[in-house]
Amino acid sequence: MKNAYNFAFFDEGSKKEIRRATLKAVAIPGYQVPFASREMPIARGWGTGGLQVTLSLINQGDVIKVIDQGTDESVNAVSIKNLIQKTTGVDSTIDTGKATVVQSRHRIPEEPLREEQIIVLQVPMPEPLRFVESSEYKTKRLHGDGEYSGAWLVLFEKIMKFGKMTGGAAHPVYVHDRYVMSPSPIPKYDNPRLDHSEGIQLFGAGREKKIYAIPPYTKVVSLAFDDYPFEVENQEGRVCHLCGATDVFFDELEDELTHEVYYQCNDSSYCLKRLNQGGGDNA
Amino acid sequence: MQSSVHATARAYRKLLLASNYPGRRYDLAVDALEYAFDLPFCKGMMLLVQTLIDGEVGFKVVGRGAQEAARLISRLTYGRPADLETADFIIILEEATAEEKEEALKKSKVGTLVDPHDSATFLIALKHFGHGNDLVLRGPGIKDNALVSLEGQEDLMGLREGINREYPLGIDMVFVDAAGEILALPRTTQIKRRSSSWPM
Repeated sequence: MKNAYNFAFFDEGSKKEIRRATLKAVAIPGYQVPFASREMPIARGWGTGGLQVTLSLINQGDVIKVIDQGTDESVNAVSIKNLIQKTTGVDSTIDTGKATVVQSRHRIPEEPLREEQIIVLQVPMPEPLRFVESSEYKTKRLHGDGEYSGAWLVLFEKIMKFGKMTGGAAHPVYVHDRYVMSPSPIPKYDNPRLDHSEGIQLFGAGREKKIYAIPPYTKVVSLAFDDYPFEVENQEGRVCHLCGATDVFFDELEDELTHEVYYQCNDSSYCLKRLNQGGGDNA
Repeated sequence: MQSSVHATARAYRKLLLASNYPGRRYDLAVDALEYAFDLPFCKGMMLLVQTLIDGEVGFKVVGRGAQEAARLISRLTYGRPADLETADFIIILEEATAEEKEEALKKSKVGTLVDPHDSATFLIALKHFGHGNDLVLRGPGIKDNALVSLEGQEDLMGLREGINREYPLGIDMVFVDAAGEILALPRTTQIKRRSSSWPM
């Protein structure tokens, strides 16, 4: 493969800096390591953090999968995948099981990660305390002291206002009994899968210049109260209209003519895999 | 000689895996590496140095031949020689004495509560890991526990335990043997001797 760029787009100095930050992030699970986020050929807030982490670790021979809210085919996912492939020459796949590196925006694939598989999550807002404290100087000290009253207060206020912990995504988690961390805007449905995952979970926030990580087999607990336990989105009674899956995270769709509501697997490659395997009575 | 771009990319990936799965040994595959000059340490250590060090970080070499090694590292990577108290990477050569290692550990930076990442990473050269599997590891990255051998490094493990007591402050370690295998011990890893309740 010949192109005008260094392998994986970056110069070697940039890779080294991101690599060093990532290794510290793995050593201190849930702690946000600052890094010198680079200018990328996509806009900040469109996955530059995840992209930088991916480019720093990708090797010849890797197989990359990029998804955006569960689909391999959204413009953002395809553009990021094209950039990675054009500057590395690696193969891509939509099959989660075949990918060695998965970059994702706002979902963890339905298929569980296997050992040594890496998921890189794009993060718009890495700071779980930002809603209660706007100063980075202060939030860093709150993390240092393990002072997370603000994170609890946000949940408490939701319960007081709405009677339950509302908020569909980025529900904060406690990592290794030390740091409160934003899991990126994944649905609550995905939170339990962060806990003791077999694979490696890396988080990159390009605009906010932070990298953090959850190593495999690490305790991750979603924040909750004894009398208001953590609950995932209720998927009960829902069936994918394509593959018949029942125990997955769904997109809710509406028929424009009849206004009938129906459901479809949010993870499109998982749905396709089930269809190709002949899964589902409705196929 | 392989392209250093791909050699360091592969080495980093192994390092990332080793850090995520403490106790597992990963092969840096150094046999194919050739250097046009004499190395003051094993090829595996050279590859780690090339992968991690540049002009942005300070390093300190400890052990016999440290000066010569430090000069080479500076020339090749533009890494800044630093003292033990400020070094981001502390390279322990195979011939380092127990006293030298102890001093390095005690003086190394462990970060602060606000910036725990501002702490030293030790790159430690070994002749070989040994076969005793007499250390039991637990912690993030380890399913239940992992059995490892770190022949001749037991005293170092005791010191490490003391330094890493106040998590998240602490130091991280990467061991590399003459054959180019690496094993990482991030600060979260708890170590005990097998058949003993004595925490190290």
